[in-house]
Amino acid sequence: MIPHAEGQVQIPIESELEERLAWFIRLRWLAALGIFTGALAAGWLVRLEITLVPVYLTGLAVLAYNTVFHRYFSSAQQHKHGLSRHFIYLQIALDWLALVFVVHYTGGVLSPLILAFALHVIIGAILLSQRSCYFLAAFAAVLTGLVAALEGSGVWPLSHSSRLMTDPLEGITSPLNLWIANAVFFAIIAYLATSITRKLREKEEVLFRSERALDRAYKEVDALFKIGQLVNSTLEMNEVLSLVAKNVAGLMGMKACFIRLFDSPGGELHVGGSYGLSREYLDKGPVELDKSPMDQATLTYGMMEVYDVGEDPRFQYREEARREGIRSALCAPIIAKERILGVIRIYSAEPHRFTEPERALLKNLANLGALAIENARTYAELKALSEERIWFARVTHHQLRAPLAAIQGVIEAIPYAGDLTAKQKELLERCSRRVTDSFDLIRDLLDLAAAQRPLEGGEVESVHLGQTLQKAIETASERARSKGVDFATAISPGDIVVQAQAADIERIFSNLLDNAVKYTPHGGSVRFEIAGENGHVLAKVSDTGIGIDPRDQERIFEGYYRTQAAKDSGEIGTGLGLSIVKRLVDRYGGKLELQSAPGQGTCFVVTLSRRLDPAHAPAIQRAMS
Amino acid sequence: MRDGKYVILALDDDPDILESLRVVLEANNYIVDTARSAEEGLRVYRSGKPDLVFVDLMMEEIDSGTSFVKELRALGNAAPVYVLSSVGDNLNMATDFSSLGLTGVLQKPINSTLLLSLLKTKLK
Repeated sequence: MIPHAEGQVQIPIESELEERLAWFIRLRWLAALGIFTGALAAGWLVRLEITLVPVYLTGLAVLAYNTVFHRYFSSAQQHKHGLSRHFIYLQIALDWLALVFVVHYTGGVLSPLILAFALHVIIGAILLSQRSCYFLAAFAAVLTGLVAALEGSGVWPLSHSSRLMTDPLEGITSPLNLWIANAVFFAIIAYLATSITRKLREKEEVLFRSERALDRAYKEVDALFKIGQLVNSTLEMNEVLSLVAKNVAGLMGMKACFIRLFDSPGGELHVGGSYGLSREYLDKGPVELDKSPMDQATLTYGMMEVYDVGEDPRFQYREEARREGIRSALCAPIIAKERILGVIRIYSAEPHRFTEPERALLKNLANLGALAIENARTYAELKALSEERIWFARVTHHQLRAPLAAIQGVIEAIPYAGDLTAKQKELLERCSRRVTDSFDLIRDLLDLAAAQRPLEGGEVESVHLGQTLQKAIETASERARSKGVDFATAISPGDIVVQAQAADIERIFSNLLDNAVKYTPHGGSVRFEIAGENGHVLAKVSDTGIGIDPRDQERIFEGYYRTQAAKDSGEIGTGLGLSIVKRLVDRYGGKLELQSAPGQGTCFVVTLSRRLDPAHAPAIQRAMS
Repeated sequence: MRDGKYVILALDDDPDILESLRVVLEANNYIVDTARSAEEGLRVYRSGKPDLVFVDLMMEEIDSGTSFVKELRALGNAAPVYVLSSVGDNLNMATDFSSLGLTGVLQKPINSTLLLSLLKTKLK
């Protein structure tokens, strides 16, 4: 079945088959006409008294069934229901039945009309598959053989007059008649051949045109994709605008491209980015919307074209444009989220009428540009916000610490101002301890805030672990010794380098080491191991300390959460250390694992990538999404 | 030296820091001159001729500490200059330290034991 259901798309091969079927039916009208005129002409041409009545009857039969076919075909087309391949076979079968009669009554198997079978085989080749065509040829051979057998055996005897045609040349009275008979046959062959070729050429042309259209569409999509990638490769507004201008001009084959943006909604248009325009032209002055009907029209109607910018009064700077060598302009609004950001213009060097595809392309490019501009704006806003936050955090840090530093200074000075009683000394020590705790809390709070801020590209450096962690290791080791805790390190030889910020790496491990020593009682041990493993760094801080209850293991990374065992140990802590560690490890896309059992000890394993995964580097971009 | 004692100039806009420094240092036989701005600092420097200088670079008046240090250098100062710094003050030491002619950094809050041992080694 050739599917042709309502709503279904008709593929080209089906419509082509339908066309050929229509052609086949049209051809049959000619064939019927040929039977009538041929029979009449044969009488004159070969001067035979052939039995014309059965031939005419066959011709009438052909007309009759072709009428039925024509009606059926038209209704199938009208109602768009499928046409069966059997429809073609039925037509050929009936044609051949008619042909058998015509051949029989015009001289049997030796009738020159037997060549009409050949014509059918050719038609079959056009309508059906190659295999079907060979089948038709074989069937024609069998059919003519059957006719010959029936005639020869006398089952279906040739009539007297038609028998005379057994040697058709015998009946041809002159070379002229022979030539006419040949010419008619040649004409039929020529008609068939040319109609096939014409159809082929038409198809070739259609194919060529669709190929060209497809090629153009592909190039446009490809260019749009490339521009999309390119303009999103940077978030710096100036770069984005220059890239958009350059690529739009290049893609559309234009001399120049100019982007103007509103400084504020409804404000003035100022130069955003440009390509192919001189500094002098760009500096010609601001575009006042009241004096630029071109921009007004663009913003009102969506798109605007000026054939000659040097002559058109709608163009504000005609003289400058003439000097710049720009002729025709097409202008489109840049719209993002239903807000007009500005306008984009392309200029040709020669007078140019912009085509519909060019207008559509500029519109698409303007939309793409709008997206990139919007992204760059958001980025700039976020960056400003982020800088403000950093500044605020720094000032806050200073403001919070300064009075504490003064208090601590005064506490330190008091013993030098005169002798103190033992109680006074003890009270001062209490003060001093609380001030130190407050310093730690401020430091942890600010570190926690800093750890949450995503990293920007360029903020990382090569951090040599052995060197960077030396101080943290010394501090922990010193503390362990004074506490009677065994402290050992196993740092694999060779330089282990990670891409990070040194302060972050130091903070991660000083917090873990500090905790390990803090929560390991006298007589216990703390071990610190670092090893490099195929692109990763594996660092392990293990202790034989108080351990962490499985119920607490999830919560210890929350801010201000301290386990009961930690509080009972008498050690002071802000409860922020591990959340800082967790956030810093996350900041670099690393992994933090914990194994612990109460009373047995704790082991933290930190896995960091040596190279910073690009997905984690420009994290400000992630923060935006 | 003044009256056989080393003279120390401390420049900070926080009077409490200055006062506690004065108490600790005077108890240890140093003479302490104090100043709360770059301008005052230079005046005191010229008149007092200190043997050692402490300066807070992060005073509220922006860059006053830095400009004071630059002026000292221009005056051909030979006395050691220590920066009083708070953690997180974000001093860009790598670039500024040597060009400003600074000797070292003391972290606030200042540990008095550390301070006194430093002075003992520096002023002999």
